[in-house]
Amino acid sequence: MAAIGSFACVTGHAEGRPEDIPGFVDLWRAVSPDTAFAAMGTGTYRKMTGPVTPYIVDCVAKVLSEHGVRAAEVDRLVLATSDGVLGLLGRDVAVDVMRAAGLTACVPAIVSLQQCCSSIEALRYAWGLAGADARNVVLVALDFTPDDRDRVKSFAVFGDAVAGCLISRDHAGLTLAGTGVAADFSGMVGEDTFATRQSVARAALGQAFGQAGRAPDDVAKIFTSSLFAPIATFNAMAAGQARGKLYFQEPMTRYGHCGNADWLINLMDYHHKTGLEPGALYLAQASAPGFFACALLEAST
Amino acid sequence: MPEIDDRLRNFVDFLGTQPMAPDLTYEEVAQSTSRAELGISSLNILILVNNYIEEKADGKIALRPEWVPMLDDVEGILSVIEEIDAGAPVEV
Repeated sequence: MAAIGSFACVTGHAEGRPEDIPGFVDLWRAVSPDTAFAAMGTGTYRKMTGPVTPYIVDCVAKVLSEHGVRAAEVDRLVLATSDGVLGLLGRDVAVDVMRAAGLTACVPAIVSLQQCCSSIEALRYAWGLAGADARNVVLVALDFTPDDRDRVKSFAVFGDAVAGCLISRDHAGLTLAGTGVAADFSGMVGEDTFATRQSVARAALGQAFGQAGRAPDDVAKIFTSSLFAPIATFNAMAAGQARGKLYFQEPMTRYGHCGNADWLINLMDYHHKTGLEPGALYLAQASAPGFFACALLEAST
Repeated sequence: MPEIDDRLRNFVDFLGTQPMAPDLTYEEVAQSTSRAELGISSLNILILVNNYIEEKADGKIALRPEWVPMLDDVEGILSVIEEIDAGAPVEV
């Protein structure tokens, strides 16, 4: 039986404040006229100061170091990224990462086209590989924004980060109890409503809880996308989730919204500060225009 | 001429106290059907409803999932405001 663990994160090395981005006032007014930015609950974001490949390599090394797994023992590398960043990755990104990380006996793959939900689909895929014949699968979610002016959106301020985990048959950790993903075309084309957003969330959550045979009340903590605080809490309420179960605020304030890496960052932050309770059920979830995805993770007893 | 009832007056009066809300008259709101027609973004309606709960119910009412789809149109917003008022603690 495989388990998910060895969470690691490498954020961009430079720290910035949204308000210091050149033209911030106009950028914010353009995406959200009349709304006070101070009410969004942001603090700083992290920016990569060079190419993404060394960040990915660093993250892979951190993931492997927790249990001393040798790079040559990794069977599979699963990268995940949002749609916009997919187009920024060079054609040799897999080979470059594998060469630098020493992943010499590894089959690479990339999962994308589900925006910030891509890494949850990647987790489902990676879990399936580990359930078949792979011994060590490294999952790495990455997202970054090259131009600071593109960081400011109506729902979040984007930060740069790479986060990952190991799905292994050799080490204890979390079990994937169920996953769900649903799409809403009206959201993909910018025509969604509160009703359609609520509907897509309920559909994905229904899949995951149905697969797991568990109920929403069983969840101890929810690691959600690091959107602006009013939006993240509203989305949770819309999905029938208790506000007190959400965990995102502190990492969001430090790192911003790191795209599809958010749930990994938030889970890891919680794990380091509070610890995961044996036997507890956790929910990783991500939302994006047109998508909602989630994964139920059960801690081993 | 659309009817301007107490719910609508209450909502428009509240908007007048909120810096992020557009300047709207009773008549303009009465003649509108969708939130978009009012010029209130989805982010701003979340903040407005939260502020309303803070002000009228001292934050003691939680937003309900069934209210979510109602926030896309004017009649729905007025109904949500009405439900918040109905659930607000009565001052003694």
